[in-house]
Amino acid sequence: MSDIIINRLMAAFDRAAEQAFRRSAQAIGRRSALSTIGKLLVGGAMLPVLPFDRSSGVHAADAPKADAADGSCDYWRYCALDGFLCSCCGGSVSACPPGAEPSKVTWIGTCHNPDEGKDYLVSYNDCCGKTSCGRCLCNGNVGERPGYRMGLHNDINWCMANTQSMYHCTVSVLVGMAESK
Amino acid sequence: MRTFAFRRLQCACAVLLLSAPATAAEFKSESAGTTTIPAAMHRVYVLDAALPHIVDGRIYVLDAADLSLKGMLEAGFAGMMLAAPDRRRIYVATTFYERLTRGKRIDVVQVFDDQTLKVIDEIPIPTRRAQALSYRSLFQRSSDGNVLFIQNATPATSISVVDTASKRQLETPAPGCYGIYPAPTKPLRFSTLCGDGTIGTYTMSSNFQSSERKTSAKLFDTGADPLFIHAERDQDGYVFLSFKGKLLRASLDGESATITETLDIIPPDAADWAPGGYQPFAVDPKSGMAYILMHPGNKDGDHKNPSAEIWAYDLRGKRLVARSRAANLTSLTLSAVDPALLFGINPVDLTIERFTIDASSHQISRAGQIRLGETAALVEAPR
Repeated sequence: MSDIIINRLMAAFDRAAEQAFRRSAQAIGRRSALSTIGKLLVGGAMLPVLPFDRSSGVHAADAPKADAADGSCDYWRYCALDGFLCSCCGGSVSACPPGAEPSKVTWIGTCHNPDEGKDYLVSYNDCCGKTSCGRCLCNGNVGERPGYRMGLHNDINWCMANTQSMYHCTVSVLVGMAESK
Repeated sequence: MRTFAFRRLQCACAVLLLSAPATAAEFKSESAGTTTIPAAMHRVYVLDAALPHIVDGRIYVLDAADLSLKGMLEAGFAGMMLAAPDRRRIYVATTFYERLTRGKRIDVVQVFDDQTLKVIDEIPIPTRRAQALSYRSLFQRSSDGNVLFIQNATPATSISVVDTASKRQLETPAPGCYGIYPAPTKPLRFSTLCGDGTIGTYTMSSNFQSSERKTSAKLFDTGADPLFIHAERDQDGYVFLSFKGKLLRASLDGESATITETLDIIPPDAADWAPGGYQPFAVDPKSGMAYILMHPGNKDGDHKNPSAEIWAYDLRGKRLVARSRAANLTSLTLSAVDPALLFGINPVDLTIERFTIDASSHQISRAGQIRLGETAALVEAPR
């Protein structure tokens, strides 16, 4: 019963829920951005917790094929996606629509693929530089934390470090497999 | 066809003209005008980021008596709102782009008059403010009302401090910390929640040249039981709420923060219930009653789920007093002028709702609603 309630709420609530934004701090394959952030943080009392350490516990993803449920917020890799699905906006699960650029910084969720029984690390890049898409608003929050854990936060515009920081939609890029707990 | 229709219209006009003399003496012409918000009207402000067209955020101004819409303010892209009822102002920190959705980014604090709803001043701020969901704690002001505090994120976090009169500014790095909690009686002091479970407290010099930071002991567990960044004022301090339903009373007036009391609101027979939402609770500082949005289900990721009930918890008596049905709310606020009134945002039905609190039982009943907005997340009833 609770799943039905949650699904119903999420569908409507996500339509409503705020956050066009979000995604926490991690530069995926964008060393310059990560380096810049690191420099900004030098001298601080603490560094924001990055969502995972690529040097250990993470392996190159052998990405499973995307399934047909791309337009549904229930698709497993959207477990912590908070924003408009780019697959509903002219892009795909992992690619921005024409004219939009992936965010330089992002946050990483960990989602469970029920078909394989495995957990994947998902980079929730916002796509930037076009007006907000307005379709398929989802609001997953598994593993999400408030902004004092910025690397796990999704109520903020992750286009914030891009030259063109307008939020358009959000993609879900598989970047690794989580080690079994 | 069009000619025929036009001639019929001409005929109709002629008939109207012929009949005009009979009523001319009674006719009183009108002139277009503009309404204002009555000074004495109790207001409810609702900030809606309008996600589907996010450059066009807005703040709805409602009459607290019946939730009728009385006007609106422009909130730009991911704007933040701060009402200053003592000054009859509403501050809106926001972003504009030169070409609406692209081009140069411009961040400002817009100062609105709360009766005309016109922008009467504008303060430029660094283009680093957090373009975030409109949590109350991301835009605050000092206890004397003279200084604004604005959360920045690039994503490195800092806080901009702005003197509203001189417009002098200071930016204090606060890496790994988020949310602003001004000291209750020290205008040049504020605190922030940090990712290592501490609270950082900053004290600024009176000339705005520097600030000093003191770090508290570890006060909360950011992994096992994080705190919502929404906080409420108690009589002499703050109240924070954890994901698992603990209320933490904090003293934030001193050089470093302390937690003075931790209260568990979850009774044994409701162990799977948890608080949720974006503005998940409200506190009446006078009575010490807390009103909390609660839902069944306390799994990881449920912390923004809409409510099933509002719980009334007595902070001083340390007991759960009442549970009332109240579906689908994610934001809740208490009227600053009538502690028997609550206002909430229901994002499922896209309504703003008004609730009354029974003085003796603390049972809560819905007493009005208006269908309004798209993605509202912050509601305030400050005057």
